[in-house]
Amino acid sequence: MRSLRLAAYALPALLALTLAACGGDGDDEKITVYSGREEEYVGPLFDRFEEETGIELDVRYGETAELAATLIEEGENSPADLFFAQDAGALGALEKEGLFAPIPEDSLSRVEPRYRSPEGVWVGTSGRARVVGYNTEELSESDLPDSILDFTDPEWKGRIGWAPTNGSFQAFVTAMRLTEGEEATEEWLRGIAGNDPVVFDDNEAIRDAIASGEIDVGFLNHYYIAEAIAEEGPDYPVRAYHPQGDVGSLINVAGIGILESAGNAAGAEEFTAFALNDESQRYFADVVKEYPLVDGIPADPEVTPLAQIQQPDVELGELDDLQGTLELLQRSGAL
Amino acid sequence: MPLALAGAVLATAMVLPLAYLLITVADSADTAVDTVANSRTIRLVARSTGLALAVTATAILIAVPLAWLTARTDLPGRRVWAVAAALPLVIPSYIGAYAYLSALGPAGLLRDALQEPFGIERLPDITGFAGAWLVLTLFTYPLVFLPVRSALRGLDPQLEEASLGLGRSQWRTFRSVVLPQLVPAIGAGAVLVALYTLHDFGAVSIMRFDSFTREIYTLYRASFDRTGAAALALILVALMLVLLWLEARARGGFALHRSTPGAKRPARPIRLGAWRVPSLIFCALVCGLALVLPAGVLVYWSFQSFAGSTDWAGTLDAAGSSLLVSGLAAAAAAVCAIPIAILSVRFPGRFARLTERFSYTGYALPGIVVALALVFFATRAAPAVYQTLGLLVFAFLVLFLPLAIGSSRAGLQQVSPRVEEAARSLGRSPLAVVRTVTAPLMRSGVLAGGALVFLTAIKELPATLILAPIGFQTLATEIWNATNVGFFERGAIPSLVLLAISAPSLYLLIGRE
Amino acid sequence: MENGRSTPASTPGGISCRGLSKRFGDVLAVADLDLEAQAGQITALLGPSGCGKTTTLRLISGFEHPAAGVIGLGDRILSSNRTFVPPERRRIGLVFQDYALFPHHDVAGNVAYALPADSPRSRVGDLLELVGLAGVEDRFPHELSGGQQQRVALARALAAEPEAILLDEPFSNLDASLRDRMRREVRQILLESGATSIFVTHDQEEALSIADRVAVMREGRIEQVGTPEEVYGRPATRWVAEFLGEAVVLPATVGDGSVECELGSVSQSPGFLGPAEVIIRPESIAIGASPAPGGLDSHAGTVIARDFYGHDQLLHVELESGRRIRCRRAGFPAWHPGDRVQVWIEGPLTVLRASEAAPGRAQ
Repeated sequence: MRSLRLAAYALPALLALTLAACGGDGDDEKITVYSGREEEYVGPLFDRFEEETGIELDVRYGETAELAATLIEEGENSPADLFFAQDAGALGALEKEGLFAPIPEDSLSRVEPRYRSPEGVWVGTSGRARVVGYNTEELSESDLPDSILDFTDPEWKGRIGWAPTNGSFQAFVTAMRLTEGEEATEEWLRGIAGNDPVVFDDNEAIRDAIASGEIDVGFLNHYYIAEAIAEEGPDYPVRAYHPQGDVGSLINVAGIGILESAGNAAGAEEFTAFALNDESQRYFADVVKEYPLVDGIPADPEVTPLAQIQQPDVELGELDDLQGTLELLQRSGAL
Repeated sequence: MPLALAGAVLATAMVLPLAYLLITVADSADTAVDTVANSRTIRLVARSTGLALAVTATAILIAVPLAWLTARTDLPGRRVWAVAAALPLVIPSYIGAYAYLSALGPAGLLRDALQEPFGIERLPDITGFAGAWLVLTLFTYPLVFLPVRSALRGLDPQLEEASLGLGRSQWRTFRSVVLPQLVPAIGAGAVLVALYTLHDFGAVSIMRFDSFTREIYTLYRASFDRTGAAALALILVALMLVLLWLEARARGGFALHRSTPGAKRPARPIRLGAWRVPSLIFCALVCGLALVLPAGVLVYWSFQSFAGSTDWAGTLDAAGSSLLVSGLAAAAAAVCAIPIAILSVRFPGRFARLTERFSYTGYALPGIVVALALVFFATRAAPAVYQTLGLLVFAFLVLFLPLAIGSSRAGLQQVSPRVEEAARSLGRSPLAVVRTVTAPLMRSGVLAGGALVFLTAIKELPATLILAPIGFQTLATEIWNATNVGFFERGAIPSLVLLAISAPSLYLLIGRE
Repeated sequence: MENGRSTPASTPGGISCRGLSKRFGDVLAVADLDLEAQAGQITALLGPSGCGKTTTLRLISGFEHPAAGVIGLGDRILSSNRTFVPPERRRIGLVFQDYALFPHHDVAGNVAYALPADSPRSRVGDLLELVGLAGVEDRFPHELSGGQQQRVALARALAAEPEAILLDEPFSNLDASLRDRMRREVRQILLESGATSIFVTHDQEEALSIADRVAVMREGRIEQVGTPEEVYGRPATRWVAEFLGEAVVLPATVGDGSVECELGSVSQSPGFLGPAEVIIRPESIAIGASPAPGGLDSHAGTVIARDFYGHDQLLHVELESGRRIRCRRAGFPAWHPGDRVQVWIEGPLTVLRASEAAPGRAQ
């Protein structure tokens, strides 16, 4: 019981201390970042920024969607200056809530218009491609159909892996709705669902299942494969296939938005410029295996160059309307 | 009256998430109705309820015998068994589920082991309902085990002796005398298991079981649809109220404190005799499945992964933070559970009932919903505490207080109100009586409740990610950091550290009894 | 405040209850009850179970709120419709039926818990010695016998230096041999403490043997208050008479200066005329082989049964009218069924108006 009594006294004291410690947070130099991107990938970038500029970053890591929801709940009281999101959909959602301030023109103009907000309130920093991963011991690229739409063929029964609950996959379906229309998308979903696909929760699981031979093909993001090849060596039995010109080759971006309510907007702008400078772009290409979005920076040699991928014509910021996608997924029995 | 005031303040704090949900839904009621009113919602509610019932029933069947064996018999090493039996609670459900999947999955370690000698290529798929059932049962039964064990220790042995004296067998005595007295503790634990199953995301998502809470997460993650998510979350609150109503009915109105005169004697351990070996096998089986197997997989992973390159200093720091924040949460919850338990047991009535039931709101909801509710209120009402350690502890209180209430209440029900009145008549104020008599006598129940909070809070993730001070790393965030980029193996070491630091804390609690 | 060994109470005051009522749902547990407990005396609250005596005790100690009425202790008002002193400020000690010792404290801890902050620690030893429990200070309640727990409870109540002590069925959980000894000892301790005491019991023998005054309670009201001799010897109602012991009830007629009943005429003026009942204790009925000496009215009868108790015997006698009466006599000489005898009244009797003697339930 003594411990309980102790706690009864210690608790208020501790709370008071914590409050006092946090009361004096007047450090204008710091930039507060909400990062939906993993520390594993962007941590080194943050470290280098701190070293080069001497500006300290306070980074809160979390899931992109949860952080987006948090920013919406925080509204103008948000302590965040900058949101580093995993995908364009989240950025689009915050744009619609009117939470972002304009990105300075010289940062925006580093990136092709298709990889940034038409209103100029968020900008992509690196890209990732939807691909069809396949097991190289079972298949070669020539065995694969030209279009992702053709995986509804019964020949693929029981051989496909997908992750209908995964955000990247759902963004891809949203894009398909935009390019192919609702009906064709529903038909495709029904076709795949009718092909007894193995359902996974995320991209890694799909990749591992392809590698182990549990499935022959799977829909996922390109860098999961590139990473595994970098780690396991060139014998790794999974490769990426880009169906040309259709939505199967969608390129989504991770990107940055600066909060309207930012206490340190100047710092946030400085970081945005930093993330788009040549060195950072090279980092994304070489280490994270993503596509750099600035002209003149080459992608990792293991991945198909961006220029060789015929992309579907999709406005990335529109990929935030996933409600319809969910309904479609549910209606077609995918979820 | 200070007690009612404390109850009211706590209840207000505890319904913050509900208030947030109502505000959010009221914002755009049409969308909310659209999201909720379709056949899929009904199907998901049915699926999740079915899973919750199955998990709860199995958890009771495992936990009650285990509690009896470790509390009342001469089972060899019963304290160690008690600690081991409670430990699976600290394994985050997504880690546990993943460990199970990688051990027993279609292409798992077991398959690898069987492939060579027996040529077995594929094992039956354990994903879906079966997997979710198995994993959730194994990682939630301690929620019944701990309260029941503490209730067993508080029982009056005279009643059992009376029954044995009447010629009843040990088994009939257990069924007719002991079991009815355990109903409050079992009920309290069962509600926790059911609510855990309803709000869990980790296990169902890895076991690919399409559940209600998975749908809530999908709404946040895929469409940033707070309104829809809030509307669905309100259904969880409704399910919670139904569960609590059922539990209250099962609990009934009995007085469980002793009616016999004189002071209580501690019970003498029951001799197992020929049952000793089967009992040991049972304990070993449960602990093997719930603790040794996942821990074994974790150990295997930690050798597979980068044990050499592990950032031990960072992990140690994180362990310290985990201990600090979950320790504070456990202490706060233990202290706050006392007035709520007293209100509910000593002053039953509508006020007490509402206070108690709504305290469960935070626990019935997925962590993300509670975290966002606190974001909503803290940024508006108390920006100074936003994203401080204090707010995080408060969030844990909102999330986990019910874990402490049930067993505290069960503990209090075994305390005779006469003893408190004796203290009052000796000149002590009601508050002093709570401090010097009621709380010490509830101790076993309160400590069990605190232990549950501690073991659950130490693995908490969604609220920690959003509400912790920036840069505050716990073992749970370390695990998340590792698993989020696809390396479950790298989550093994912080997971093992989680187990390692929880065990002695638990031993301390159980050893104190 | 005196600090004498056996007088923990400060100047004690009496307890007075006026118009006290308490309702539980539809049941009126205490109904307009008046009760006075004299300062420094022991008052027994005697009644059958369910009569509201424990509720009365809980009202006085402050654990129940009365619906109406005033409770006073000395010159303090403890409870009225304007004031309510919480139990901890009433300075009223309680000894519970189940003793309610603190299971988490040893004997010394239980007593020390009750000591005022400024008391020397040695008081614990003094109090335990007072109740005859020296040497068990470090035992825990579950290691004590019932009688020992009882004494600890008493020592604990006294340790708080209360002005009054209330005891709820204090001896009901003790076995018979222990009970007699504890009664004497507890009475002695209570008197020495100087506190005003009320104890609740359903056992009339216990009430009569310990109390200075006995309040007989029935259905939420006090039926009669008086010394043990008064309530036993001069019951106010037939119900009290029958509850407090065995009573022979005979129809009677009150005339001018005398009362006529089947056992003859007794000179007494109860203050009314007309139909009445007389209540006679069996020990007030004498029995002999020949008519009563001294010209007392005696009547013939036949012994039909005999209960022998050693120190006395209870004889069942059928009068010539066919009415059966009981009489209690010393164990010697022995009478036997079939003996022709003479019986007459040889002690106090109570005369009640026929209407007052509404049929009550004998014990």
